[in-house]
Amino acid sequence: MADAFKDSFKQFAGKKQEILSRLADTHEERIINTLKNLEDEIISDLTKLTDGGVKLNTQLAIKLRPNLKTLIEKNFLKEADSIVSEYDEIVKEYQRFIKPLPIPDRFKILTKPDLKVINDLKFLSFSGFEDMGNRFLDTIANEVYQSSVTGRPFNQMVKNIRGQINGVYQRSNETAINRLTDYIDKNRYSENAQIIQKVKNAREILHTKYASDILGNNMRRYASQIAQDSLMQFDGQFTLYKGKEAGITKYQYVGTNITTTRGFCRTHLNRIFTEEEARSLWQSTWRGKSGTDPFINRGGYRCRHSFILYDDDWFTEETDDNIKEQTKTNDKQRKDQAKNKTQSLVPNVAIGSLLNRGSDKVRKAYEDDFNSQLTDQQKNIVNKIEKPEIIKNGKKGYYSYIEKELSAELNAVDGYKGGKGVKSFVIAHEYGHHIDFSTSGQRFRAWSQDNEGFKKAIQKDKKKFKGKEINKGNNNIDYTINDTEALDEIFNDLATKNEVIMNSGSFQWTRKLTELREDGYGEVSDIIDALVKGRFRKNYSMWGHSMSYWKTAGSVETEIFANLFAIRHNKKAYDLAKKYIPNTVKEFEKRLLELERL
Amino acid sequence: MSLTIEEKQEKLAECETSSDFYNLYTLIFKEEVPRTGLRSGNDEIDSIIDAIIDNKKIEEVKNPDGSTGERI
Repeated sequence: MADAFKDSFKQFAGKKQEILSRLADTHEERIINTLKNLEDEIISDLTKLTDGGVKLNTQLAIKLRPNLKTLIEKNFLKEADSIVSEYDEIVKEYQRFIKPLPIPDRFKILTKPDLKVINDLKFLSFSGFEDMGNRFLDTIANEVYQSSVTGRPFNQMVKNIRGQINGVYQRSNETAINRLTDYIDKNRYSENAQIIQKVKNAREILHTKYASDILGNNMRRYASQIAQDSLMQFDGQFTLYKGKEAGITKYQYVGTNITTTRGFCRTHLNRIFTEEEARSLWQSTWRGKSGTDPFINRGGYRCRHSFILYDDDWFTEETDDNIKEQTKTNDKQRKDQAKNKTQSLVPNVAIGSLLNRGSDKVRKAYEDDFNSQLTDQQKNIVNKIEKPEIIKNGKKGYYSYIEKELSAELNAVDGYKGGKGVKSFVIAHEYGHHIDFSTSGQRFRAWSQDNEGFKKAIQKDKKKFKGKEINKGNNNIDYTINDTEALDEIFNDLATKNEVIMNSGSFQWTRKLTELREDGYGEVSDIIDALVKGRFRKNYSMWGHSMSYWKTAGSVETEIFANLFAIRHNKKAYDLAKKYIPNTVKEFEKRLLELERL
Repeated sequence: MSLTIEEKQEKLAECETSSDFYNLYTLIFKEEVPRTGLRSGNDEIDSIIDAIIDNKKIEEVKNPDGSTGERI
């Protein structure tokens, strides 16, 4: 009877393996695509800044290093950050797995220490990507420097850099090569025998015909390996941690056999070990071994076998019934999760209690409204930084950096009476000011108003519009926008005009009122208003601040920062901000990363 | 400039762009529209219309010291 239950358990446990495989495949694919973009952007940047190699000298080569660093951060590390955040899925899968099993309920929930461990493990995983990014930054920067010293032809330098990033899979001017690499990337995990053969043939052609391009230590090779291994390491370490916490002493080595499965894994698949037994066995040697820690190294690099918790006492009729019931729930949850990928493991930020007044219901609603305006990354940041002294649910929105007082309206709407209105993310906006001021390291100053990178990025973004540069003295350069055509276009992206009938006594006339198209577009409008110092609000009846306010020192930078903080969670609004002020958004994202790692 | 209520209504009905409302306010009150603290351009024009109809200047709303731009 117990054997029948074991089958049911095995099928149940197999789901976890499916999730791991899916994540490993998609993460590798995403990293590969990111590296293609990185390669293209680095080459384009180098070509532009050195005028096709003509201007390359040792001084310029040294100056190019920060550019390379930014490109690696913006492409590779940003994607790595997003990938690591998806490790939450493993935790959710663990919770599904453990739920029907006969262990005390307190081990089935995630406690605060659990969340800390999860965050630490994620941080560790991200560090792996970060180390690799730094290593390749050195390699590429050295290549540029050495080329400038030795006078290496620019084309050869480009070829070497491409090789250092993507090895044999580097982008090429030859369409045939790009077609082959794209075909391999697209079909690398196909299970169709014919396609597997075609992929193999494509690889052979690539290696045989372009063998001279193969660079063993390229970024793609390591990055795609890290994408898989750090996921599996996270799983192994988290499983061991939770097992120990619940007093479970046995672990089963699970997964599937494929043609490339190592002999070691094939022999020990489905075996049950105590931690000590596994650690002892992992001291032996086998082909393809990468380390001696079973929960970190498994069979070796890219091995997709994993451990699950195991206990002989679990195999009872009652557990079997629970598993069947849980399987139904899990299927539903997975479907819902696929629909709503933004479901978060990060606990909500508790700010309801900071409200100066309000019923429990209002406090709860305020807290929910605020948390709905934040990404997981922002929640982590907010949780790290000291909260405001007072929060008010007030019609007026402001942040007092002297009193550390925040006022913002619950469920605020940008619209007009009788119009449909869209959501305004005013709580996150004002909280963005709080973060900006309280992390600057200076009293009554905001980070955004003093950070050269952020300020320069705003000026750079303004230059995309027609206008002129004004030197205000003391190296204070401003750029005034005078581009009605661009503002007309932005207005059309953000809003429409509706004709409404106005009444004054018995007199009636029509007037055009502005209506925003989507949630958060009021914040985007405020960004544009900052760029044109109040003309967008005034001339287009949009949302923003008065012209006199924009004359206040630091107002442009602090409001742009607060607005980006407010719309970070809303894809449509944030994508528009990226379109209008791409350089500023990059600096903003860099700042969020810094704050997250504080 | 002193206008009757009918003249004001006529002039308001002639306003097409946002700037027309601001210019009308300046014409009548001989001063620029002061800071209202209103976030929405629509709302600010509403307050301009009210001021013109009621013949009562808009009171300037000062931004509180030591705080970011107030949004009403």
